[in-house]
Amino acid sequence: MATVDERPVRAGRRAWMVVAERELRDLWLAGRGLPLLLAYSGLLSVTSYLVAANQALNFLEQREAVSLTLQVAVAVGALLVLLGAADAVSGERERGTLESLLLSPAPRRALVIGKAVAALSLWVAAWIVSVPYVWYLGRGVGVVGLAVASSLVVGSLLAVFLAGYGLLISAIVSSNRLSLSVSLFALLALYAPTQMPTAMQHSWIGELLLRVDPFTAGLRYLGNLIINGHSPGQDAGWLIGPVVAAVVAVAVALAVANRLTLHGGDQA
Amino acid sequence: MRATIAAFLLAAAITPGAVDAHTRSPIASVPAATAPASVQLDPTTVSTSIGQRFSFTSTIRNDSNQPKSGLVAHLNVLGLDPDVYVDPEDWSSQRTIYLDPLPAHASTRLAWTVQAVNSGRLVIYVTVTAQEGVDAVAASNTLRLAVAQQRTVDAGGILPLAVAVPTTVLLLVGLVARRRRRLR
Repeated sequence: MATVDERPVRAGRRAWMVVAERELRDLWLAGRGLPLLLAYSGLLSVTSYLVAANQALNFLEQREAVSLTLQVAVAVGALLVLLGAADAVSGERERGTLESLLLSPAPRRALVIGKAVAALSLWVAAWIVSVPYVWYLGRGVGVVGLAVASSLVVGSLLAVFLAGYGLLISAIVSSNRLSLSVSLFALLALYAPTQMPTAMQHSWIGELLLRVDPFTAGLRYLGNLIINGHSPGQDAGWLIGPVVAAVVAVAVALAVANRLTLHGGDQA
Repeated sequence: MRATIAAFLLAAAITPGAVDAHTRSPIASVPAATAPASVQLDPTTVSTSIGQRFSFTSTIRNDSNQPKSGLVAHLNVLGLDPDVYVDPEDWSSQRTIYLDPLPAHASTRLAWTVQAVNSGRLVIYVTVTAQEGVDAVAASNTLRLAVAQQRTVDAGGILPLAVAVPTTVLLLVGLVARRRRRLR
């Protein structure tokens, strides 16, 4: 999609910034950034309306409603990043535009960083959209500030993890469809431990699996903060999984970025 | 005379007290099962609102001269309002605790955390029994709960917001599409 050799790189500007700027323009002015955001805002509207109005869902006190909406906002907002990142390199391959991108003077790592910045912008926009909903639901119980700040921290960790992970898969495989399906399947596999019976979740292996899955751990942290009124440091252990996942995913994606080829790993 | 005896026998057969007198004697010969321990809850009253979590402790004491092992404590919740259905599973996911061996005349404290998911008047109690043997089930004193009604979100106020945010994004989509068309 982006071609960095269309105009000369200005002095003092790093290559990744140029790539990021082009990618951001493509995503938000010509791409699917706004339609994705529209679908996201629709989902949050339905969720928050149901939480507030539906008797079956409006089962507990207000903090439960804030927590539920916040968890949907963070999980789906971070998933938008995966959609953006999983398309980044394999999409260029499919459209036949990767060659010109690889021929540009920008280092390959800069290409991947620029694309990661564009993918992460989806999360930033999603977080901004979620703020009015969280404000409305949480204003009566004094958790707005905490909910907004904690969702930014947890959502950003998940978004960075998914950006690195999506770019890694996208750099390896040759087709967009394969990239998306592998990325989503792996996320589903990580989600599986949360469906274990309660007794198994309390065993050490069950607890470990819950903490290893960055999504489960991050959302559990949010729940403890909003519903149980824990202090941010009290359950910080739940953030170890998301932090480690984010660091590892980004490091591996950058390592693979240096060996980015015209054809994916599955066709090389 | 025969009629009198027959009437007496018939009356003895159909009188509940008489039947009870017959059946009670063999049961009375079986020694009554004793409770393996005594249980005391603290506090005994809690006022909270729905959705809130709260904690209480149960002190389990081995009153006998023998050490007790294999004791199991179990938490239960019951509603005093016949119209409210209470499922204790909703209140706590960990309702059964297996205790370490308890020496003679020793006690142990268990901390329980529950979430009030029903409103109204309710009672919480803890029972203790042994995994093996013929010990009875010991029940604690009651923890009486008063759970205030839920605080719900104003459903009417969310509707304008739920419409306004997607509309704003839709407006942005339209503006961007218009700008794109103009640039072409």
